[in-house]
Amino acid sequence: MNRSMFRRLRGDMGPLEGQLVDAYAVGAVSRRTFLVRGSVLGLSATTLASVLAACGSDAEVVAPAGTEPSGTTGGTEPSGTTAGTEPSATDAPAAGAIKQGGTLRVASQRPGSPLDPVAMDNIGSYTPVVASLEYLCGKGEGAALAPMLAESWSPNDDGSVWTFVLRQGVKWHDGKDFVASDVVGSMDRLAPTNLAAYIDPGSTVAVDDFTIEVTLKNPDGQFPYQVSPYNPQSVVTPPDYEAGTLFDQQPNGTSAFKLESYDVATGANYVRFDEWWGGKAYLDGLEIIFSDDNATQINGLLGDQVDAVIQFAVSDADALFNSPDITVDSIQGAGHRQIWFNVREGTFSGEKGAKIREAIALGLDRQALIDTVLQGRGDIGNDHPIAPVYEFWDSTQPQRERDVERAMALLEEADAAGLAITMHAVDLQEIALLAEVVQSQLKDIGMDITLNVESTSTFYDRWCLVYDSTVEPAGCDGGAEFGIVDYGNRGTPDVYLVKAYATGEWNSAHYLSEEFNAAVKEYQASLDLETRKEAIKSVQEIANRDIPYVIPYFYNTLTAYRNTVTGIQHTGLGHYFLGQAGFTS
Amino acid sequence: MSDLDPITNDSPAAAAPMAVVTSTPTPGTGERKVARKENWRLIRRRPSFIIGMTIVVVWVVCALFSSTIVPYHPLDFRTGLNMSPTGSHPFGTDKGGRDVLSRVIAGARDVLKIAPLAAVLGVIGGVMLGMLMGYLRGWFDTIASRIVESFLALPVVLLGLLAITTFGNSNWVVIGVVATLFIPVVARTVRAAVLAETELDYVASARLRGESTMFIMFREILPNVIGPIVVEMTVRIGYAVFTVATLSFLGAGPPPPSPDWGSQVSDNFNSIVSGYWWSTFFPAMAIASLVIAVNLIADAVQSVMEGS
Amino acid sequence: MGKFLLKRLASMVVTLWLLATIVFLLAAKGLPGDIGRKVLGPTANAGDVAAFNTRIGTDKPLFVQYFRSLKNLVTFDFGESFQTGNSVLDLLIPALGRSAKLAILAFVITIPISIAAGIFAARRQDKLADRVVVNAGLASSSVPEFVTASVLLAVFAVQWKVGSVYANVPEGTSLFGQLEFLLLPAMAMVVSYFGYIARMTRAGVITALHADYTRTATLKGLGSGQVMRRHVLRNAMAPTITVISVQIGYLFGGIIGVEKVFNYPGLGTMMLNAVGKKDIPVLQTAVLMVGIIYMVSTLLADLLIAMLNPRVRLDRAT
Repeated sequence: MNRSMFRRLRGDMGPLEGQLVDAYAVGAVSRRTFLVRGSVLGLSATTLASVLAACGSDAEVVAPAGTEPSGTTGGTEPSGTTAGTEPSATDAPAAGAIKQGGTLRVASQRPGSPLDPVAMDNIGSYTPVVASLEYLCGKGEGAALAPMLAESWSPNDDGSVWTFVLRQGVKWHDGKDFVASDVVGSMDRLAPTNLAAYIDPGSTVAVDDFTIEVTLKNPDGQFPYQVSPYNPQSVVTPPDYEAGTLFDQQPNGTSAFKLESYDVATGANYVRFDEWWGGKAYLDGLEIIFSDDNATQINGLLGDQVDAVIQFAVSDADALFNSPDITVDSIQGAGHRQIWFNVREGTFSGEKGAKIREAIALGLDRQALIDTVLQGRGDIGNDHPIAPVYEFWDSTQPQRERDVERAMALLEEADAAGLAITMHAVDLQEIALLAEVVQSQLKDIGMDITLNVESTSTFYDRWCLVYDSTVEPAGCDGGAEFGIVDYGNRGTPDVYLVKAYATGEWNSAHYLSEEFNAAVKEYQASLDLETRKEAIKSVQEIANRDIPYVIPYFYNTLTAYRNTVTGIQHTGLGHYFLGQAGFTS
Repeated sequence: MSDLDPITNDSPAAAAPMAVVTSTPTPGTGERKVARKENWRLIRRRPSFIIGMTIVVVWVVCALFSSTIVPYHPLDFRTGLNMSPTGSHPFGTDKGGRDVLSRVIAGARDVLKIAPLAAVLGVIGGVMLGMLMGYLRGWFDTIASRIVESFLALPVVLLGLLAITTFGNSNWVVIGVVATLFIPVVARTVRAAVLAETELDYVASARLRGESTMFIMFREILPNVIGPIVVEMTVRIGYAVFTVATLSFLGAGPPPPSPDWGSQVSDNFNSIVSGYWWSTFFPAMAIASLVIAVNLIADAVQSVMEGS
Repeated sequence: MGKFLLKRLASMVVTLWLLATIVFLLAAKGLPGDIGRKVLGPTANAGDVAAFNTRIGTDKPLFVQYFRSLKNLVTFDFGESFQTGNSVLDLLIPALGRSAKLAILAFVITIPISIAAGIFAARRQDKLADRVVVNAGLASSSVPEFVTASVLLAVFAVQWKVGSVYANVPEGTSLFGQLEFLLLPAMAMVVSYFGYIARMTRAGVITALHADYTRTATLKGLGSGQVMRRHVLRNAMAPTITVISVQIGYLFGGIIGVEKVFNYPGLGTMMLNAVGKKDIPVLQTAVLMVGIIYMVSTLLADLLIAMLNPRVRLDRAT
């Protein structure tokens, strides 16, 4: 270790950054974790590299994009065909290979809601919006963040005030300059809804033309995730936007592509914006083609009608996996399926209910589920929402394995041998198949499950319709005591922990545990990785012990593109950042 | 699909091909019985009837004894995914690794439960409505005709989708929806047939005798329009299978994990591009075989009735 | 004739009103869920949902909403889509155009083929050729059209790269160039409808061949070609024309399967999405469009039949 260099670096840092560097220096965190955490705290690539160097991580000083295709696991087809698979916005891709010109055609889900950037709620709507609008923090490698509209950011000592230094020379598509007051306006529009838990209108102030300061309601060591692609609604919107302004009716943005035309029936067209801060993009334009089905999007790629499919489910995609002309990227994520039990009343409540819950958890063969339903593309779940992709995931927790005998004994003890019950599920991606396999596996422990699989539109209506806010804890459960619902990928598990487990509004299980909530509070307040790891450990243990939900797996998000396309940066949340993308010659 | 609904024959041409063939007027009850027996004998002799009936019987046997004749459990997930047809899986396996042959056999049960029931209910409803319209005429006919017409102008699948979204998708709702979709079509056919009948002498004389409306409608007219109704019934069974498949495709079919043929087709047709044709082909062929069988029977019935 | 047309038009208006009412009731009363919630999504907060409903007027009593929707229809205004906030007509007129293009192409191919096949089979009644035509037609129309469409797509567009996976024609494509995009979905429809129309034609021709006037004409010594043209076909076409006219209505609104497989944003797709989002203005207008097409095409069919066969009395046809 280079002591003097280390001391010099360490001396310039705030306490949060300092703790991280110390933890890395003594080997308490891995190199990968250090890079991720460092990026969240706003340490620059140079600083990170210097620390790595000072600590003697000699071989791979600055991780070039692609050496650690972080998320790429589980896929039969390794994604790392080119080094530029996931370049951060500032990295120049391997030049020379990419030719100037061409229009990239991308198949995407049809928007399911108006293109109101603040209120949009589905990836179909994200895609056309984020093609033009950008975030303060971009996506780096794996779960890390990278500079986008903010060049750097840093917290104060306790993580309650965050300062973002904005990029200079950024222009809006309408020709105006991008300045700090634009971000203040944008944050104020987010404050009453999307960021209500974090800030109020007025919490964001412009220090100068290119610096803003955000004062949080509660300290949060991970706040930059809230202004990054992991919180899709947090795009920086133009100063003339008001609450309810629709992007397609007033198109503008800061990205490399400017909206030309938009039609919800067919798709959207973009042309290159030559004054983009990242330089001149390779592509002349971008065409997004909407469709309602996974299969149609896949067929489009197979039939040369599009060059990329932004996101697709594993079912019916074998033709893509088998095609030599197509690259499939598997992005490891935290998205999962949640099998809920109503623990407040009915079959699954009380002591007997707890036994039945455990019996079901023990009755599932999770690896078989992953193999059948996801064709192996996912991480095994242990009945808590902390995915292995998070750097603070506690890997020491024992995995719950299938035990048919024990499960049957538990059912017997609960006077529920041969239990017959209806399971509610939404017909989305692989969930219907998951429900069928669960039904079939639980037959082995003597359970007789009837399925009630509903289309997405009716399911989600009913899901929150039966919302009795007078009985605590309330929650959306569609009036069913047993069901399956989907949770998308997030950069941090806060949404799952708060909305699904604590008193949050999606608490289908109506689960309430002071012990659990205390652990979540501790996790959220934790500013350094050690305490966070410690807190998450008890979160995992309590959830795994109480089993308000069975979480069988975390699925990988899939994206696919023609081999002639390179430089696509994607997030697993319906974003494509295409400033560096192009066709190879 | 039920788009292919035949006959809307109160148009001026009224000469709809398989309908409105009225048998000889003024038949007595006794003569009718004899004629019916004779017809039945003739029908049984026709090769199309024999072939059609054989296919139907095969499917009925499959439905009744599915649990003993299936090689694997139709809901069993534990074999390889998307295996092409081989000795141990003659029809291959589907995307969940389930044996397609077993599912096709077991699916006969769902299909034979839903389709004939929906067809019977739809035809009964349609016959009632059509007879009332054709016999009563006047304001009732005028109003009912407009309602029937507006249902016919409504895209069939859309109506089904709306209804299933509203009431949920249990087997009974699917049966009810398909039956309801058939009522206007059948009613139109029957109305046209009844209209033609009411102008015949035997109806006038029954009226003169002072018979009640109900008696005239059901005892006098109904037996004379039974031909097109029987044809309509057999045709409807075929369309019911088809309609259920289409509803499944739109996500409004019978609830999973039903191995209903239509659901199998709509669950698996997206794998065709990956080269996995068998998980769609075999259930689709099962549907086609049943539709053809029922139509062969219908043809036999129709040609005998026309011939007599 | 004039009286007939007037009567027909009057009943068309009544039917359209009934259609609008049925759709409104089914959609507004039947479809579960709150419109604001559906449009804004499960994660939107309650205040925004309520504000949305107030803005588009779905918080008003049902009859107020009903009369407003009727007013929109009567004034040809049609209102705005709940889902996107854009004008309903801006969304549906292009969709109608796309549906029309595909339906017309499908019919231009289907009609001659299936009528020829029907006549061919009828003249060889109960022979092998007849059986083949009838049962092939039956088999092809008993395979759901989305399966036919998928097979055509997989074999032609994906494997052989002939034709297009997405049927939507890019702007500025020449008339002939459009065929590349539309031919496969049209063929899927042809396969589905061929058998049906062929069988109708066959049945009509057989009836006409056995009719007295045909026998008389043959006895008078007319050649078989002349008998066929002047007597048989003229009479046999009526049921076929009726069936075709009914199918035109269905083709515009009922080919959701083919539209979905080929990602073709026609009227069917628009209606399907509108059901999902409870988008009543879009749904009502689309259904009325299909209804009008259905009624106009059946009216034209009746007129055509009357022209072919003067014995048909139009005034009995309502």
